Amino acid sequence: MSDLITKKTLKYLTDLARIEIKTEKEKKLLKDLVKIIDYFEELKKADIKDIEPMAGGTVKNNVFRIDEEDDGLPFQETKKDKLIEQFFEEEDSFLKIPAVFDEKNKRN
Amino acid sequence: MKKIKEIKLVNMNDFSFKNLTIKEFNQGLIKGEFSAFEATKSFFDFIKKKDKKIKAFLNLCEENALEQASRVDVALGEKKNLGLLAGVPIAVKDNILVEGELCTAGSKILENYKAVYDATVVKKLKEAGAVIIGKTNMDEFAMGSSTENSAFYSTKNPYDLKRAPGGSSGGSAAAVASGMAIAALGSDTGGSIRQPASFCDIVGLKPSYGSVSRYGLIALASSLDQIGPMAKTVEDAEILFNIIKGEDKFDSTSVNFFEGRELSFNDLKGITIGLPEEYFKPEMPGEVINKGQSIAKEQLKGAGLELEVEEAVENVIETLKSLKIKFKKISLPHTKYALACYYIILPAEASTNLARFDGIRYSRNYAKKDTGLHKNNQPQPASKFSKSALEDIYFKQRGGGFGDEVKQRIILGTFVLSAGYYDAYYKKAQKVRRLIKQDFEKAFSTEKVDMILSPVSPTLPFKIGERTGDPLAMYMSDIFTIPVNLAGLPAISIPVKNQKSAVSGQLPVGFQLIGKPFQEREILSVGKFYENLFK
Repeated sequence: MSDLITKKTLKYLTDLARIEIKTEKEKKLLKDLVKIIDYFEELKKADIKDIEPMAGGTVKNNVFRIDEEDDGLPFQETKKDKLIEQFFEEEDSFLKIPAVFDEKNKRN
Repeated sequence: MKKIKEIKLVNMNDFSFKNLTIKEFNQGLIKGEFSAFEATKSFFDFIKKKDKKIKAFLNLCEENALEQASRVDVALGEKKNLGLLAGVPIAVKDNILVEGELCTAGSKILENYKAVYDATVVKKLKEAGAVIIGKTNMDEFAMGSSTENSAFYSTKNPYDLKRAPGGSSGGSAAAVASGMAIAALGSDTGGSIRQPASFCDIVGLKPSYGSVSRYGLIALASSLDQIGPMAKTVEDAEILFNIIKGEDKFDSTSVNFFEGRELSFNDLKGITIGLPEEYFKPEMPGEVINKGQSIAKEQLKGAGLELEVEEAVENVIETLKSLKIKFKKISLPHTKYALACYYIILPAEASTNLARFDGIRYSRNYAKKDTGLHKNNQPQPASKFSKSALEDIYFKQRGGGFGDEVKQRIILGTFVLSAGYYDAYYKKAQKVRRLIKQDFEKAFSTEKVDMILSPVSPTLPFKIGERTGDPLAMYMSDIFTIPVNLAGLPAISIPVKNQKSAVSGQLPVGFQLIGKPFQEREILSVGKFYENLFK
C-alpha cells in the first residue's frame, strides 16, 4: 500500500488545485488515489536508462507567427459583446470580479 | 429512399433517413427527393422521439440547423456546385465549440457556457454545407470510457439499453448508431472515439497527432487529444476526415502532411499487417497489475481479452487473408507500461488545462447573476485556511462544478507534477512514453509491417454501472487504444462483420487498424476493402 498520499497530503493537493472536497467524499477519493498511485509503481520495472523524455506528440519544433498586426481573429469587435455577455457580472463593458488583493481575508 | 416527400416523414418506425450514408443522402438531395430543410426537420422529429430512450444529445441546435439547411436549399436552387456534405445532419461532441450554442463538455461547471466562436473543424464542416444538429453527451471533460461520468445523464447503447455506449464520445456513437445523425465528430485522447465506435457498431477514426486542428476543442491532455470522425461506414469517415484535416494557424501542432496513397486491390498483396503478441495474450493486462496488492481479482474482471472479441478479430484476420494481405507476428514489448504511463501524463496535462475553469471566466453557477459578487464579499467564516473572496470563488466553483472523476484526476495531476514527485512520476512516464513510441517505430521499420491490427477494447459493451466503482477496471477498457495516442499514430475502429459467435449474440465488436504516422489513407483503404466484402 502506498503511504504517499495521506489525508494531510490530500489537503495540501486540494489547496494547490483550488478544489473544495466534501468531507463525506474524502474517504473514497483517498482510497482511489492510493490504488492508482500504487499502480504507477509498475513503471519502476521499465528500463529507462539513457532515454530522453518525450515531451509531446508533435512533429514540429518551434512554431512562430509572423510578427505583424492582424485583425485579432477570431475575437473581432463583433465577438466582444458575446464574450462580455458570458461573464458573471459586468459594468459598462468592464468585467467585475472580487478584489484580488483582499487584506482583510488574506491567507494566514 | 423512394418518395420521401409523400410519406411526409411522420412514421418514425419507418424513418427514411435512418440508414443513409453520406453519399446516399447526397444522391437523394441532388435528385430532389427531399430538401435539406425537410430532411433536417424530420431528423429533429425523429431525435425528439428516439432520444428519450438513448439520451445521446445534451442540446439540440434546431434554429441554427434549420437556417443552415435553408441556405443549402437556396444554393441548390441556384444550381451551385455543392459538396458531398451539403445538408448532411452531423452531431458534434459537446467539447467542441459551435458558435452560439451551449458547450458544456458534460460538466456542471460549464452548464451555462455558450460558445462565442466555431471550432476550426466546425467552421470547415459548415463551409462544406453540413448541418450541425446537436451537441452530444460525453464523460465530463472526456474523462471516462462509458459516458457514465457525464454530469447530466448516462447515454444508453442502442444495441442494448442496459449497456454503456462506451466513451467518452458515447453520445456521438449512439447518435450515429441509432440513425439520429448521419455522422458525428468525437475526440480521442486514449480511445474515446474508437472504443465507443466499437461498442456501437460504427466506424471511428483517430487521426495522427497533428492531422486535425484542435482549435475550439476543450482540451483534456494536449499532447494526446485529436478530433476525428465517427460514421456508419469507412467511406463516410474518410469524407469527413478529408474536410476537417489540415494545418490551421490557430493550432500550432497541426500540419499539412503527405497523405500516403490510396491502395488499389493489387496493392493489397504487398501489404503486411503486424499482430502484436502482447495484445492477444488474454492474461496481458492482468500482468500489469501489482500482484496481490490492493486490487482484488474480481475488480480485474474483464481486463483480459474476452473470447468473443478474440474470435471476432480472428475472423477479421481470416477475411483479410482472403484479400491476399499478409500477416506477421510482432512484439510491442512496452505495451504493459502504457496504462500507468498514460494515467500519469493525462492527469498532469488535464490538471493544468482545467485550471482555466476557475468560476471567474466562462461561467459561474450556484449563485444568481446579480447577487453573486455581493454574496462573495461577505466576511468568511473562520477556518484554518481563511480564503480571500476570490479564492473562495475558486474553491467553491471548482469543488461544486467538477464531478468526482474530474476532481480525482486534477488532484492526481497536481500530485505527479508537485515538487519531489515530478521526477519519480511525470518525467519517468515521459521516458516510458518514448519507449512505447519506439516499439511502434521498430515494428514499422525493422519488422517492415505497413499497419497493425488489434482488438479495440478487450470486452464487449459492458453493463451500465458495472465498472463505475473502481477506477482501474474502467481504465482497462482502453488498454489497446491508449498506446496509439501515446505514440501519436492514426488508428481506425471498424465493426466486425459477419460475426458468427453465438455467445456474443447481437453485441457489436470492433477491430482496430493502426497506421504509420500520417498514413490515414492506407488504413482507410484497407478498411474500405474489408467493408466492401459485405456490401
